[in-house]
Amino acid sequence: MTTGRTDEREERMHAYEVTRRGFLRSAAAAGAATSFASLWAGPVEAQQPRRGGTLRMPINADPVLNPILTMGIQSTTICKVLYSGLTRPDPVTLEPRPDLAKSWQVSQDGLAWTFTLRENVKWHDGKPFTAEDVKWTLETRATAKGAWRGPRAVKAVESVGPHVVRIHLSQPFAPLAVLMGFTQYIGPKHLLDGKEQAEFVEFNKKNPIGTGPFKIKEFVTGQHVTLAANPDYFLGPPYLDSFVFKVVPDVNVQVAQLKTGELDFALIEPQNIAAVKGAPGLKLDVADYVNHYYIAFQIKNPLFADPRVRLAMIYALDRQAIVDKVLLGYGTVATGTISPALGWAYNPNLKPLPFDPQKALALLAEAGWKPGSGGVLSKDGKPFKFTLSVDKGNPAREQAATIAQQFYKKLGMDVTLETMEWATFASKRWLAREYDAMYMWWITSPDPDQLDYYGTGGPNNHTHYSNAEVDKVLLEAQQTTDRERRRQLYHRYQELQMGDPPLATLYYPKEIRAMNAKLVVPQVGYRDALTHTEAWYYTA
Amino acid sequence: MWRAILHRILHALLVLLVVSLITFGLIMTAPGGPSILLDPDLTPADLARLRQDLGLDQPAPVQYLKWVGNAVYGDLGRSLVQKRKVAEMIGERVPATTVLAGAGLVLTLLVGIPLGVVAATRPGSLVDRVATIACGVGMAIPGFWFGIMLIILFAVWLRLLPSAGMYTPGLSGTPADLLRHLVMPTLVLATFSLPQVTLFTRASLIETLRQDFVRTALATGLDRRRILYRHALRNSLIPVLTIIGLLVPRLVGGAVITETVFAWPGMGRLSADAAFGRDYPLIMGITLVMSVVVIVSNLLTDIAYTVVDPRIRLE
Repeated sequence: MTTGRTDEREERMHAYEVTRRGFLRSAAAAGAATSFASLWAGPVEAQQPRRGGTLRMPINADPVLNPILTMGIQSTTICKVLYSGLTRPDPVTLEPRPDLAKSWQVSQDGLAWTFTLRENVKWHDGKPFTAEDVKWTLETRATAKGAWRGPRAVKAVESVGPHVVRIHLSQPFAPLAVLMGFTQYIGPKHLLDGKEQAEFVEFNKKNPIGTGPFKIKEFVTGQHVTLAANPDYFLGPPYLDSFVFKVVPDVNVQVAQLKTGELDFALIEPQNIAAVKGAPGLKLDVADYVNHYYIAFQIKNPLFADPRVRLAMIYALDRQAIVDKVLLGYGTVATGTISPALGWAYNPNLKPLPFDPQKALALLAEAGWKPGSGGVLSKDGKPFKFTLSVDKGNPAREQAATIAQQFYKKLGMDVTLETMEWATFASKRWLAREYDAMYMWWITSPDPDQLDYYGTGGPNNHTHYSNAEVDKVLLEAQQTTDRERRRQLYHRYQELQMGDPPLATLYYPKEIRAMNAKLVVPQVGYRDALTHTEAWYYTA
Repeated sequence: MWRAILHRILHALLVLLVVSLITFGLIMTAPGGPSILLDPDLTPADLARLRQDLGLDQPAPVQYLKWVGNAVYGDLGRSLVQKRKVAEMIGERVPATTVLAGAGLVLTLLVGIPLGVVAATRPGSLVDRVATIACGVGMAIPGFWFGIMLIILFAVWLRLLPSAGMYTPGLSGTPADLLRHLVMPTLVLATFSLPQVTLFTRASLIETLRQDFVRTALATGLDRRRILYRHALRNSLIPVLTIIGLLVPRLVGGAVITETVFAWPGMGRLSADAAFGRDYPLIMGITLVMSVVVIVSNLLTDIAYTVVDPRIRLE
C-alpha cells in the first residue's frame, strides 16, 4: 500500500508546518490559495451554511444508548449527540465551555463547584431539565452496575435550587469542568430512576431520551440508529435534519461507502488515503486529538529501572521514520506525554529528542551496558534481552513495533516481538502490567492532568514510573484552578520528562477524516467535535 | 420411523450437553477475559464487584452447572457486553441469517446441481472443464477478498448495488431494497458452497452412469434422458444430500466473514462480536443454537435419504 508519492508527501510536510490554530488563521485569510485549507478542505470561510441534509457515519457494532453506562466507543459516539454534559470542549482550544451549565464557580478552597444551569432546557420528551437530573446522574454513576464512574474526587452532589447544582469534592480537582463535558453526560431522572440501568432495554436500545441537538428516530438492531433534529434544542435547531449511524464493521467497506456516497463522514487509517484521495465529492481533513503513542518499559524490570536506559531507548529510535513509514506522515514526533492538541498546556519550547544511536550507546555504557561478544550489549555477563509486545490485527501497530525492534536490534539488544490478540494482550500484558516492553497509546480527556497515568502509584501508571518531583508538580497542577499556574506546572512537567522519561513516547497521531466535500465540521478530534453537532453543516 | 426420530432427539440432547461442556471448557481456557473487564479505569475493587455481579467469581464447574440449569428452562442468560437476554439477541438475528443462508442455498442448488449434471454427462467437454476449473477457483478464493472485490466492482465502479447492510436507512422493509442488498453477500456465500455441490453431483453422477443398471437400461433401449433423470440422478443424490446437509449449518453459522464484510445483521456477525468481546453467555447461546441447526440438518438429511432411496430406513 505504501507506494512512493513524493508530491503528496511534500504537500503534507508543508501542511504540517501549519498548526491547528495556524490553519484556522490561514483558512480565514483571503487568498490562501496554496494553504493546507485549499489543498485539503476547500476554502471553508467562503461557504455559506445550508439548512438541512443528512449525515451518515459508521459505527462498528450495536450501541447501548444509556449515558450512565460505559458501553464501547460506538455507544459514546452516539451519546455525545443525543445527550449534553454540564460543559463541553471549545471547538478550537478544547477548554471547557458552557453546555447544560451556563456558568460555574469554584469555592476558595477548591472543594465546592457551583454550576448554574440553563433554564430553557427540555428533555426530548418535553419534560423540563433540572438540577435533580444532574444530582441523580452523578450519584447513580457512583453506584449503578456497569456505570461509567465519575471523577473519584466527587464526594457529594447537592441540588441547591431547581437550576443550581453544587458538587462537593474530597480534594481540589481542577479537571472537573473538562471531565463534565467529556464522558459525564446527564441522563433523565424521570425515566431512569429506580431502573436497573444495564437491563433497561426499552430505554437503552429503543427510545433513549436526551437533551442534545438530535433525538432518537429509529433504532434498527445490527443496522443503523437514526437521529432527527431536535427543533427545541436549547441552543436553537441544528443545521442538519438527521444523523444516521450505520453499523459497518469493516474499514475497507467504510471506505467503499464513502466513495459510493453511502457515508458522509468516517475516520480512516493512513493506508486508506490513497483510495479516498481525489475521489469526487469527498475531501480529506486532519485534526489533532489528545492521544500519545508510546513504547512502555516495565520499570519493575531491573533492565529499565535506570532513567538513562529509558532515555537511550528513545535516542535509539528514528521516530520520524516510524511516523513517515507507518503513519505516512500523519503524526508528529512526540516530545512527551502531553499532546499539542492541548495547546495551552503543551510546552512549545521543547524539541523532541533526536535519533542518535551514538548517544544511546553512550548512555547505555554509562549505565553499565557494554557491547560484548557478537556486539550484544551485556552487563555483568547478562545480555540486554527483552520482549516487545503488541496487539495483533492492526497492521500499522504491528509494523511500528517491528520497526522499533529493528532499531533496538541494531543497537545490540536481543529483542523478541510478541503479538497477541487484543483481549489477551489487554488482560495478560497491559492491565496485568506483566510485560518487558509494550506498544500502546493513551487517548485522554482534553485536560492535561496525568497524575493517574504518571504519578507514583497512579491507577493507570502501568509502568510503575515514580519521580518525586513529577508527583509534586502533577498534584499541584491537578489541584490549582489558576490557569496560568497550571500552564507553568505542565510546562515544568514536560521538561522533567525530557530528563527522566516515564516511557518512550513515539508520536502524536493526526485524526484523518474522509468526508463529504460539502460538510463542515469543527477542526478538533471527532470525540470533541461530536459535542457540537448543532453546528455541523453542509455548504450550499 | 417415529420411534427412530424420538431416539434421535434423545441422542441430540446428549450431543448438546457434550457440545456445551466442550464450548464452556474452551471459553474458560481461552486467554483474555470479557472485554467489559478490560477497562483501565476500573479499580481492583470495581473489578471484584463486577466479577461478582456477573457470577464470574465462582468456580468454573459451578458456573457451568448454573448455565445448564437455566438453559434447561430456555433461559440462556444475559450478554455480558450488551446486558440483554441472549435468546432475544439471537432471535432478532435469525431472520437476517435465514434470508441470507436461504438465498445462498437456493442459488447453490439451482445452479450447482444442474451444472454438475451437465458436467457429468459430458465429461472432458469444454463445459465440464470450465465448470471444474471455476469450482476450483471458487473454493480457493478467500471470501473476505472476494467480498471487497465485488463491492469495488458493483458498488464503487458500476454503482449498481448498495455496498453493505440489509436495508437503506429509511427504506427498511421494502423487498426491492432487500433484494439489492442481498445480491453480493449471496454470491460470496455461494462461492464456497456452490462448487462443492457441483463437484459432488458431477463425481457421483459419473460414478452412477458407469454402473451396471444404467448400462442395462441403456441396452434395453430406454430414453437416455429418462435414464439420466429418473434413475441415474436419483441414485447419485445420496452423497450430494450429505454435502448439502453439511453445508446448511455452515451457511447459517459460518457466514461470519460474509456478514462482517457486508455489515449483514445476522448470527455470524453476532458470533464474531461475541468471540472478540469474550461474551461468555452469548458464545454459549450461539453455539447451542448452531448445534441444534447441525442436528436438525442431519436429521433432515437422513429423512431425505429415505425419500431418495427407499431402501434406506431410519433405524
